Amino acid sequence: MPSLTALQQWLFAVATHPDSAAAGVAAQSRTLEEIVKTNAIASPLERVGIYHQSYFSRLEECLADDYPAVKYALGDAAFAQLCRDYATAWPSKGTNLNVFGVHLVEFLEERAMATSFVSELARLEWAIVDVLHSPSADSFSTSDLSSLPSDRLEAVRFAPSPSVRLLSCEYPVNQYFQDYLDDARPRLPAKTGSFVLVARQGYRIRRLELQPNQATVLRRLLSGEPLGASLSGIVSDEGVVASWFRDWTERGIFAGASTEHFTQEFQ
Amino acid sequence: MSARAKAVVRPADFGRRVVNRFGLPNLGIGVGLRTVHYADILEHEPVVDWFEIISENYMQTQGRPLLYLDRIAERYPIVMHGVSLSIGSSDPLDLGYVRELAALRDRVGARWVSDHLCWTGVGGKNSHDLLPMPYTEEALRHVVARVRTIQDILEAPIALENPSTYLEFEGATLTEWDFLSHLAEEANCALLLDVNNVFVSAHNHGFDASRYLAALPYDRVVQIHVAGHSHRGGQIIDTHIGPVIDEVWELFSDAHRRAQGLSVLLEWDAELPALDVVHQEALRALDFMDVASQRLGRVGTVVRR
Repeated sequence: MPSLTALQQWLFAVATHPDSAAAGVAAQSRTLEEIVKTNAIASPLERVGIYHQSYFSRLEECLADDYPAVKYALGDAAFAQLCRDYATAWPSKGTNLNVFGVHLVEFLEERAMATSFVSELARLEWAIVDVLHSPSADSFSTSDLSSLPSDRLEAVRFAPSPSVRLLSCEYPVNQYFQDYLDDARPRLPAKTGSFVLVARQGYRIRRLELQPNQATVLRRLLSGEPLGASLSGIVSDEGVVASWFRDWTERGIFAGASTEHFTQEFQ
Repeated sequence: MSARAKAVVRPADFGRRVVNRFGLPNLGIGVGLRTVHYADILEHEPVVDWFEIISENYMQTQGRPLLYLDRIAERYPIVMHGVSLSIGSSDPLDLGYVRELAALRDRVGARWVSDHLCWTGVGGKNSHDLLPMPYTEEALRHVVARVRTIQDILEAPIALENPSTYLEFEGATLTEWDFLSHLAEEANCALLLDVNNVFVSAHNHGFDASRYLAALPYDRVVQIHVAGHSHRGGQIIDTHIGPVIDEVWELFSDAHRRAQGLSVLLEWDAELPALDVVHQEALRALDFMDVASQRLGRVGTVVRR
């Protein structure tokens, strides 16, 4: 009998072969009958076939959980093929399926078949997964906002909450995603630039579309630039800008504010 | 098989109840904690004895899953059931994973930690499937050593579950029940007996399920799983689709009357209904406990909240 290591390498190669269990067996030097017992219930190939089918269906199910709108956009068959190709290119090397889909955006961007819309949609869906698993921050409240030193406001820097992501997109992916959730059967959209903020506050994950000037300010702030520099070149009414800050604060975008530098990085 | 290994196999002792040697409590009848039931649990606080979590759902996360789990763990006893220990793999043990298990256990006060007698990957890759072990002396020695290492880190016994399997290896020298019995004895670990998995594997491999149950060391069995399954071609697949069929409940009854203080858990994952439906199905265990109790004239303890 082969060693434990050899047996496991054999079965793993067969169960994860991108084409089929039969192709996996054919690629091995040891025959199926040398490894797997035969009985009247099922043939050895049917037996290893259960593990092969289970491998790809489990990973497809995982990716469908993380990327439901991508699945809708591509259709079931193309999504299944995508998952199989992805699992082959990026086999899981960790103990946790929570992170299995982390490379799908990169994988989509490299594939000729995927439009940039689909990879942008995937980026939005991964941002949702990402903030779901990111730590919570102490809430920075609107009262904290009003207590900032008025004589040094320009020097104030905001610390981003770790469960916030800001996306700059060439397509209206957030609208598409919402239409998908609403079962409005959206079609592939034309290129229109958009900015989407994804943030988790406690249990709730929210998406907010931003105007270009809002996105510019927030991107600067989240990157650690002080308030004065972040507002530089932004033409907007002071009251409107104040309302942005109230809205962002209520949504838990910031974890703190100070005239000192924050050391944490915005992802 | 060595004489030493043979000596640890216990003969069936049908009429005698044994208490698990680890002193782990009988938590009563629980169900698997699933995401779709969070809101119901937190809003209505249903009377469920305990919940079993899939450990990995709350690992490598610092976000929302832990917020829910912390609140539920304040209200209910929790047991951790993992799928990624890969105790049988020829790859090195992932000690970081084991330490993370211990940290999660301490965080939520889990009563014990369990996983499966299986391997999930090799060569640094993970299938996330419960792949079957070759039941050989080599594999037994390998798993015993790894269980000891894990228990040293956990500073507690781990419970290993018999998996559903769809193939057996040529050249195997032990039955699954002998392998489990030797493993439990030599590594001094606990067992989680899944009677649906016994039913599934018995069908797929043509062995006698009652012979399997008769051979286990019940002083090491701390928990029992029941679940539903599906037929695919000539084989049965462990799909955790409910309800539980009567044949599996009969196996449960058989196992329960051999032991005492077994915590009972229904696994239901496919086509998952509302929590109260799942819980009602789990409570069917009481009917099959009563049958056992009538036969033996003694009622097992069911802890109620």
